[in-house]
Amino acid sequence: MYLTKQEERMLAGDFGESVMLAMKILAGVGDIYGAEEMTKIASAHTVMTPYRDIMDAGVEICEKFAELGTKYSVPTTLDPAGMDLQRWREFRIPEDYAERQMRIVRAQGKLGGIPVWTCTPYLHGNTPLLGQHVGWSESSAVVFANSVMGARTNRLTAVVDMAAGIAGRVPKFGLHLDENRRGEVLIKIEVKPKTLKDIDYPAIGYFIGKHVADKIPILMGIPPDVTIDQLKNMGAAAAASGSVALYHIPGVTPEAENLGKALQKENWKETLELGLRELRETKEEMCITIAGEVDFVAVGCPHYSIRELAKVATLLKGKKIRRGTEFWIYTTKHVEMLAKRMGYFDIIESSGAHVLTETCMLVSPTDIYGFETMMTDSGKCAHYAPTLCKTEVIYGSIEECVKATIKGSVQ
Amino acid sequence: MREIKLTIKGRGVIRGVAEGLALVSGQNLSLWGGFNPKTGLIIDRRHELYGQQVRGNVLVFPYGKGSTTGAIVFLEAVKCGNAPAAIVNIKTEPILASGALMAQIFYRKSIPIVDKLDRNPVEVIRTNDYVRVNGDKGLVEIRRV
Repeated sequence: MYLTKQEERMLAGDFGESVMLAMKILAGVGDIYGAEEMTKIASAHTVMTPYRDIMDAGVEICEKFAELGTKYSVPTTLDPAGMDLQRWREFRIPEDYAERQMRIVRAQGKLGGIPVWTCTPYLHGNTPLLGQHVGWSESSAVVFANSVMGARTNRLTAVVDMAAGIAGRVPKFGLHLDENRRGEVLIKIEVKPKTLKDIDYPAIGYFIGKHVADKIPILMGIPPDVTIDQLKNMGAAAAASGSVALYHIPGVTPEAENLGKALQKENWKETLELGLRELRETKEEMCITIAGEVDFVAVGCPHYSIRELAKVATLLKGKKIRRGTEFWIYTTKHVEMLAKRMGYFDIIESSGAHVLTETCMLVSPTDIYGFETMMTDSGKCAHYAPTLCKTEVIYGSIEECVKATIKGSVQ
Repeated sequence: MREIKLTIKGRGVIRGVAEGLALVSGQNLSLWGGFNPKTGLIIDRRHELYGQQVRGNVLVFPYGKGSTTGAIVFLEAVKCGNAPAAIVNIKTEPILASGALMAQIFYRKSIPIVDKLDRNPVEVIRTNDYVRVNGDKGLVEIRRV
């Protein structure tokens, strides 16, 4: 792999041990995957944040980088932590777990990580422009950056993402190159665009991820007034059920002004049809169970935006959730602050539901509560909850979720 | 019984030489949610290797899959002494390769990986074959008694 003079010096240790370590990792990955050179990046995003996932090896590596006295050389945002960093005692997080989580918080602080603690960094200031290279992990954020923003990143993995932030570079292969961003599978969505609702988008994503694995889909039939939230939730599901890191929507996403642009003048390799029947079957498949008692309703995966929080508040206004059912809504500190100013926070908390921040149901130890059946409006959460939260799962719209919290069950 | 010896050639993804008994699966494997680094056991209930011990074995499977957190699961396994001795894939995906690469860098532990072999390793290698993986030369030597 070709390295510039500067990069060779970085690898040789002229800029300190942490930069050398970061370059060793990046050059090693680049060599394995045939990268010809490095590319500078506009920003990084790291998943080296929740203790539950990164464990003691993760604590050790965060602290090692922090002790070497280095700082991230490009803006580097942080994924959710493994607990609500303020309310963790209230949610009965074990002390020894919290202590290790706080070591990660301190180490990332020393490194200069931007403490947004969210899987939606693109809504919180990490906003690369069309064509810019970045080094991100967090599969739901990677697919958003590539598809909706037109930035360029591979699905980095834990630690490699920190190395990218420290060195300000990534090896240039895969989705950094034009020819690897060409749409391959044409998805024909044959449902009237006007009838598509919020709850349909994660299901569309789930269907696509399952069928295309890591290929690049082109979605036909998504209306031009699709919202950022709908795309956020659709992409997250596609990146969970498959390894989708980039999709195109002609007329909507920036690299696909039209179908021809998305295909880069080639032909598509495969076509898939998604009609009402497939949509219904996918929603069924996303549920482990479809009716019965619900003791846990969890939403905000990816983190809820202020618009989504406003909607929940409207649905909960003047209502009380049923005793024996917990309703936890995950979001960021920034969105929480807006919700407080706008009155939504009080409406939600006085109904008995809770707003948890800087964490989520998948990366905190949700399994300690012994919940049996979870309901969620998230496709990504529906995919991972059976193994990570050890619960049954019901997938439903936010309206249905709120109804379930009031009744304590789904019919 | 006659001893069978066979060598297949491929690409060394991660350097080093290691050997052990093979644990073979035709199914893809995800580290995050599929493997417990603290015990070395496969915990994905839908996987045919469910309940099997990985520690010290040569793990043979087609591809990796799954989450961007995967590499740290691999590092935790190395830290806890529960990593496989070596890995053989049809094609190694970046998350697994990154994990093994960083095991060398952070823990000075080499878990050689070889992929892109001239014969399909999942068909040629059987569970409990004695396998030597040479990541420097991209060779996999198989011995069956």
